[in-house]
Amino acid sequence: MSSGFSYDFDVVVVGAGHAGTEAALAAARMGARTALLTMNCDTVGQMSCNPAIGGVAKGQIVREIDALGGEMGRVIDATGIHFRMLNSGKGPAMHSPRAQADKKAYQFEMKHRVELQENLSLRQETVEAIETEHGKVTGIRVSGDAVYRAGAVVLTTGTFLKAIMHTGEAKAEGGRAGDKAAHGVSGSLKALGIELRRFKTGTPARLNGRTIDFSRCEPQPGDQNPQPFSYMTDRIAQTQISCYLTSTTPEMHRIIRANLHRAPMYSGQIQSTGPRYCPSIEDKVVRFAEKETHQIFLEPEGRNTQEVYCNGISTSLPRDVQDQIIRLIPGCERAEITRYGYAVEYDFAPPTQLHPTLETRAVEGLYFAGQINGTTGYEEAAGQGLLAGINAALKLQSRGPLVLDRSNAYLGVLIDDLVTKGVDEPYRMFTSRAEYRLLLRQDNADRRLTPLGIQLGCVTAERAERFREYEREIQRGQEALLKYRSQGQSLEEWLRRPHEGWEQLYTIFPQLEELKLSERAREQLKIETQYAGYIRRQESEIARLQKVESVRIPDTFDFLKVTQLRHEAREKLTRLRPTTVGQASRVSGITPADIAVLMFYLN
Amino acid sequence: MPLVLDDTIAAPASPPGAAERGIIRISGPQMLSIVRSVFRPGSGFEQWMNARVPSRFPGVADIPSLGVPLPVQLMLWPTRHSFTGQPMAEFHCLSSPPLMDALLERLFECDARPAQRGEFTMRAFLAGRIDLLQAEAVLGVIEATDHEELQQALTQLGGAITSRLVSLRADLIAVLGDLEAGLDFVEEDIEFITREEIVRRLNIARQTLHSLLADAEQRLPSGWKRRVVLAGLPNAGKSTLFNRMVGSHKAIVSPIPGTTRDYLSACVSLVGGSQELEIELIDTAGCEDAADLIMDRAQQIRGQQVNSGDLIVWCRSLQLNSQELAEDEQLRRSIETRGLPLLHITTQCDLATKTAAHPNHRTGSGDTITQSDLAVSAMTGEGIDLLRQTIIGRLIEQKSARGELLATTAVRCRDSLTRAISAIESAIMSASAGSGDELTAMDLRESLHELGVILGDVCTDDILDHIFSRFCIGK
Repeated sequence: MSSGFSYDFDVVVVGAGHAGTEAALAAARMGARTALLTMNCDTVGQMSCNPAIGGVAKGQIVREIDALGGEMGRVIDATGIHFRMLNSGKGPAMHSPRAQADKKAYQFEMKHRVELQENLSLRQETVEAIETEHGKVTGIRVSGDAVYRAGAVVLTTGTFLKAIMHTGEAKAEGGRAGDKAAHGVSGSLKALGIELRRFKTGTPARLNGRTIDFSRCEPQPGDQNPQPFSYMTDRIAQTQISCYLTSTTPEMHRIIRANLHRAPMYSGQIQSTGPRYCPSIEDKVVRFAEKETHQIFLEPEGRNTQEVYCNGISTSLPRDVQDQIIRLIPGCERAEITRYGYAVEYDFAPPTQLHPTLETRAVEGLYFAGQINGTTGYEEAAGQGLLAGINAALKLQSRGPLVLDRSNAYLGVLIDDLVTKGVDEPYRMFTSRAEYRLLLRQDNADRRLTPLGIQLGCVTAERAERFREYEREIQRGQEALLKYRSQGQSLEEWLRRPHEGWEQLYTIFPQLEELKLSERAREQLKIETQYAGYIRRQESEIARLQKVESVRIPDTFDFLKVTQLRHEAREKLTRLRPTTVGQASRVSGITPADIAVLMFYLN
Repeated sequence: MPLVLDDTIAAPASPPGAAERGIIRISGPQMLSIVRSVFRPGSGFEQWMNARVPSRFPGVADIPSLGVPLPVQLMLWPTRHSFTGQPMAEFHCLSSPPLMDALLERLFECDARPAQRGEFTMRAFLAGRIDLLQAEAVLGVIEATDHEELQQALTQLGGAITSRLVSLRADLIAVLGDLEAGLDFVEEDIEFITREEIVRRLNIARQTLHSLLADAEQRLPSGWKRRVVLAGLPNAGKSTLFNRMVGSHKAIVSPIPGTTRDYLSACVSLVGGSQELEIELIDTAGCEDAADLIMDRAQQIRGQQVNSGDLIVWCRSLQLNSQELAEDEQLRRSIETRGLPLLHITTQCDLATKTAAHPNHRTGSGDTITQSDLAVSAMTGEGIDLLRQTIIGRLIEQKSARGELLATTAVRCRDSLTRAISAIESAIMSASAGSGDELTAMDLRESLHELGVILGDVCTDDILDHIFSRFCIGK
C-alpha cells in the first residue's frame, strides 16, 4: 500500500442515493462508525427519475422501511406535495400510498438527516477500487491517494457503473444527465471475480410548466385526507399541488413509428434489457399497436420550480423527434422541453452472487444494494440499502444476520427473489410477487417488523415506545370486542359485518369511548376482524409450507455429486447455492422432480 | 426405499413363469460396461461399440454357468435419453425361469444390483420422464386384473388426465395473471379482464374439474372406503351389532332368524384409540337354512358381499348348540380357505351368565372357540370399543393392494380436486359479489396449488413414499 491518507471506519457506504443513504443511516443508528462516500455531496438522496415515492407494492415497502427505522417515509411525509392512497376502492391489502415529492426538498431533507446522524460522516469522494485481503474486504481506495479502511463495505452504485446515456444517435458517458459515470469500480469488481451484466432504463422529457396549458388536461388532485407514510408522522399538514392527466395522440404514434430507426433500442445501439413494465413510448407504440392513445401524467417536480415530469413517455428518441412529439400532446402544444428524455445503460451484478444478507459470496464483508443488484425503483433500492446496512453492522458486532421471510415482508420477497431467482430485466416489486399478500399490508408493516427493529436496535426509543402504546391500544380494543355483546353477538361479530363500523359500535356501546382508541388502532382492529378468515387461511398455508421451506441445505452440499439431478438443475443449483429447499424450489427451471431428488439426498 | 441413484440396477421386467418372451432390464451409469461384459452382438460389432442412439442388437449372452451362449435380443438406450433418464438396456430372451435367473445372476456378478420394488419407475419419475400420475399408472398396468382396468391405466399412462389438467391449469393461470395485473397496475387505463369473463372462465374450469372428479370417483373400485362385512349364522346378532356400530336403527332387528334378507350398508367413522377410519359396514343376511349343503352355503355367502369385503367379521353367538357350532365351524372354514381376511368374534356375550352352563361352551368344542375370540355384546356395549380398535388395526395392517387399481391416484386426485373445486367456487363467489380481486386471486392460487399437487408439482415425502412403496420391481 502506498503512503497517503487513511481513515478508519467500521462501515463504508459507496454512493449516497436511496440505497446508500438508508444503508449508512441504518449502520450508524446501530452504532457502527460509518462513512458515506458520494461523488457529489449536492446530489445526496436525489430523485433521478420520476418525482414520486410509493405506489402499488412500493408504498408497502416504504412502510416496511419505516417500520425498521428507515428514513424514506419520514422524508416523503415532510416534502410531499401530492398524496394519494391508490387502490383505496379495493381491500385493505391493496391499499398503497403514493406521493409526489418536491424533488429538491426531498433530497435536501435526506441530506440534512444524514448530516444530523450520529456516527455518520458524509464525504465527497471518487471511488477507485475496492481493497481486499484474503477474500475479505478491507476498505475503499479513493482518488487523491486516500484509503477508507473498514470491516464492511456497502456498494450502491445505482446506474453509474460504466454508464452511457443515449438520446437518439447521440451518446454520452454519465450515470445521470449532468453527472459523471463511475469507471474504477467495475474493473475492481471483475478482478474480484464478480460477474457484471448490462441493463438499461429510460426517463422522459421534463417540460417548463409555464408553457403548458393545464386547462386542456384533467386535474388529478391529491387525497382530501392525505395518509402519511411514516408511523411516526401524525398527519400531513402541507397544502397539496395537483397533477394533470393528458394522453398521447395517433399523430404522435405515427411520428414515433416513422422515427423508430433512430431510437437506440431499435437501431441496435442499445442491446441491454430494459424493464417490460415501464416501457418507453417507442415500445408502447410498437407492442400495443392497436392502442390509439396512452396516458400521460404531468407531475410537478416541486414547489419552487416550474419543471414538470411527463410520466408515461420515457424515450430515447433524438432531440428533434422529442420536440415534435411533445407538441402533439393535448395541453403541450407550446410546451418547452427543459431536459430531454434519454436512456441509460449501466453495469449491474447479477444478484444470485449474493447471500440473503446481500453480502457477496465472493468477498466477505462486501455488500451490494440497489440498482447494482438489477432492481429499479427508489423504494426497492432503499429497502435493500436498509437491510445491507443493518446486516453489515450486525456482522461487525458478531450478531446473527437479519433475513426477512417471504411471509413477513415485501422486503423478504424482494431479497429472496433476487438471490434465488436472479433477474432477467430490471426487477420491480409487484403485489403479485408476494404469496401472502393479504398479510403484507401497508397498515400493519409496523406490527410485522417494528418488534424486530426494537430487538435489533435499529429503531429509536421514541418509535419503540409509540409502537408499544399502539399495541396496548389494540390489545384493549381486542379484549373489548370479545367481551362486550349486543343482541346475542359479540362486538367482534358486529364489526365483521361489511357495513358496520366503529361509529355504529359507539352508538350501541358508548362505554367503548373510554378505551380511547386512536383512529389508526380502530382501523387496524376493523381490518384484522374483517380479514380474519383469510388471514387464518394464509397463516395455515405458511405453516404447511414451513416444513419443506425450512429444510436447510448445508453450505458444503455438493449439487454436482447428485448425478440423478438433471444437468441443468445441477448447474443452476451449484451457481445459485440456495440455502433451503424452499429457496431451491423457487429457482426458475427447477422442477418438482428435482426437489424430490434433493429432499431424498438431504434426508 | 433407500435412494441410491448412481449405481446400476437390474431385474426382470416381465411376469415370472414360462412364456414366449422374458425381459430383463438394467439401468444405471455402469450399464454399458456391465452389458458389454455379458453380451456379444451377432453382427454389426462396429455399431454396437459406437451406439449413441436407441438401437436393437440380436446376439448372445455369455453365461459361464450355462455352458452355451444364450440367444438374446438387446434393446439399448446408451444415453440419458431413456425411460429412466439413465443409460438403460433390456435383454429379451425366452422366458424360462432358469435361463432368466442365470442371466440375472451373471449381471449381478458384473456389479449390477437387484432392483427394488418400483425402482425403475422411481428413476423415471425423478428424471422427470413421467409425472406422478403416470408413475402411478405404471403401477396400474402392473396390477390390472381385467381389460377395462388395463385400458384405464394405459390412458392415464398416456397422459390423458395430465393433458386435461395441464390445459385447465394454463387457463387458470391466465385468469389469475389478468386479475393480478388489474391489482398491480391500477393506474393504467386498461381493463385487464371483466368480472363476467372471470366468472365465465372459472365456471368452465369448475365444470372440467367436476368431470375429472367424477372420473376419479369411478376409479375407486369399492367406493374406496374399506368394506367391513358382518357375517355369520342366522340370528348371530349381526344386525344388532350393526345398529350398535352405526348408531341408528337402520337394520330391522328381531329374534326371528333370517330377518335380514338383503344386505344393509352404512358408512361409519370408526374411532379407536388415536386412530380414525372411514369404513363401509355391511350387514349380511345370515347364512340360513341349516339343511342345505355346505357348498350351497358357501355360494350364498359369496353372494352376500363377503367376497368383496376387506374384512369379514365372523359373528358367532355364544348360544349355539353342538349342531350349530359344527355348522358355524364349517362355514367359517370355507371362508378361510378362500383366503378372505377374517376376524372372529363372539356375540351376545351378555347372555353369558344365562348360558354359563351351556354344554358346548363348557366343553370348548375343539379349536374353534379360543380365548382370543373377541367377546362383544351389542346390547350392553361390552367389547364394542375393543372391536372398533381391532377392526382398525386389522385394516391398517393388511393394506391389500388387490382391487385398488389406481386407487392411490384416485384418492389423491379426489381430495385435491375437491379442494380445488371449493377454492374455485369460492373464487366465483367473490368475483360475482365483487368482494375484492385480491380475495378472488387468493382462491385461484389455492386451486392452482391443488392442481399442482395432482400433477406432481408439490411433492411431499409422504406422497412419494406412499407411491413408490407400492411399485413392484422391473417396471
